[in-house]
Amino acid sequence: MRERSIRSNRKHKFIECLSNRDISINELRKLAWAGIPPELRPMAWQVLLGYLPLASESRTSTLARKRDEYQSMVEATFARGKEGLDQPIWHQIEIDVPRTRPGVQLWMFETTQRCLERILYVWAIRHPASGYVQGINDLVTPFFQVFMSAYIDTDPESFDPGLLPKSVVDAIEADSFWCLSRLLDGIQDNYIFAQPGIQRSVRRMQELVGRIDAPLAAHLESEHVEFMQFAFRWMNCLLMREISVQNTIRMWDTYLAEGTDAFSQFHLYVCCAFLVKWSDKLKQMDFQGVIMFLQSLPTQDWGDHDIEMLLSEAFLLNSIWHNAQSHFGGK
Amino acid sequence: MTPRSALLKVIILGDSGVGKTSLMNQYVNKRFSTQYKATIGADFLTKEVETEERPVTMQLWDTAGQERFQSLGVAFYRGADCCVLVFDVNSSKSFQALESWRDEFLIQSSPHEPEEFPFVVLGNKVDVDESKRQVTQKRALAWCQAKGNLPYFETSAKEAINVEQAFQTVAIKALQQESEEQLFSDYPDSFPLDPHETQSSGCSC
Repeated sequence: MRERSIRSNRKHKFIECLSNRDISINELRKLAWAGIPPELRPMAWQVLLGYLPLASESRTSTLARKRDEYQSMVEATFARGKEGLDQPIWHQIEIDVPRTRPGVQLWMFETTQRCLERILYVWAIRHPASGYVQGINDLVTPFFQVFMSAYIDTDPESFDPGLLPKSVVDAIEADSFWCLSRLLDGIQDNYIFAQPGIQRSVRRMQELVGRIDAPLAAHLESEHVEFMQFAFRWMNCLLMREISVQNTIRMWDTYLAEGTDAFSQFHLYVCCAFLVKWSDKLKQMDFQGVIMFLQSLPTQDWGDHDIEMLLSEAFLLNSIWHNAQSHFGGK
Repeated sequence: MTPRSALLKVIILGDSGVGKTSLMNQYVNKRFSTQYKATIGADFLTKEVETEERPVTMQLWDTAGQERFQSLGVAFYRGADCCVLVFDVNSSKSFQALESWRDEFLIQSSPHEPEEFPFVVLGNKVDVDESKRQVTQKRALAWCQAKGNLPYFETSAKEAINVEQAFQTVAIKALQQESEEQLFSDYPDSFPLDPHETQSSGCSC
């Protein structure tokens, strides 16, 4: 009972915050850190990413302009048919689209797959330094699903977007594209040649774990487990291979509240907290055990509460270690 | 007394979508699924194998096929005892890429005798209709011959054709390699064969 009233009170504050003529970004951030109510998430995410303007009077026109702009990019990009495309990039996207969240109905529908294909390709050719890198496909899925939820009453994971009017699908696709672009702006060096962003993050993670949990770090070293062997994926897919999409969506509420550099900075602390969480188990395992355990972690039953615990541990680590990083040679 | 089980490290390489993950899962779990996500970094599996010599534990690293991930090879390739090169017989491009996968592997893993390092080549997806086939057996065999008589298998992860046989060969090749590496570690290359010679490495005139 009490919990419900807290929740409805929080929702009230959100509605109040979002209906201001000029949204206070600081207030929205503060609220969003603790999680966004699902029905307000599409708008809140777009505001937090700086896609939807804070001033209410320019929102409709901005959205219309951005959606048009995306539409013209799509038309120009695909004007010469498939022959006009960059073949290596297109080939990679074509084989990855059908294996994006395989088995989840939403991602098996024709309409969803064509949207995903266009989003990825248009982004890739506009970012030639990285192009399309596997794992970026995963990052589109929370956006698409959350934005689609604004137009339907049922579970987006089993809904065929082909049943929606074309204008609505176009809007979901365009919004997903722009928000993905904003997210990737903060982590571009994860995906350029030699992936220096990931290399750096994994190195820092190793240094940090050495300080946060020295016995664990020593154990991993003695078993010859290299952080790169498991944490590469944690950085490349932002833990989306380790936790559910529902968990990811909740996690992104907080990341977006932290600012777009959270996807590289704050994420590092989340990864540390995530590893240290299994410390007792890992310390009992040999090389094989550790690697096998870390690639199929028991997070299937994780709910918002587990994610929130993880986020607060990461917050703590961040406040303790972030400024200390310069002391141990973090570049 | 049963002989000590050997620990062998095997790396699977090849272009994206040729079926590396499917082959590994068919071999280890006897399962085929069309629902694998693209591999990121590398996935790890193990398999216990009996060989004539001794029991073997194979540690298999199933790597990501996209070129962008090649910079992280070093973390996975080091200390490998055998490398499996996979292509799709219905994709000429994936076959042509074997050359650079092989080169890249040798550069990053820097084995003692690159010329002798064991590779096994798999032409996968032979279950697909013959009309789609782009790489003939003859062409594949010719390449394998030219690279030092590499063992070649035509496989189907989907229909479990030749998968067991191919990996049995991988186990045997890896075991041979491991015994040879053992020799090297007993006699490190820094061992001065002739102390006088090492001193006069510069020009003494």
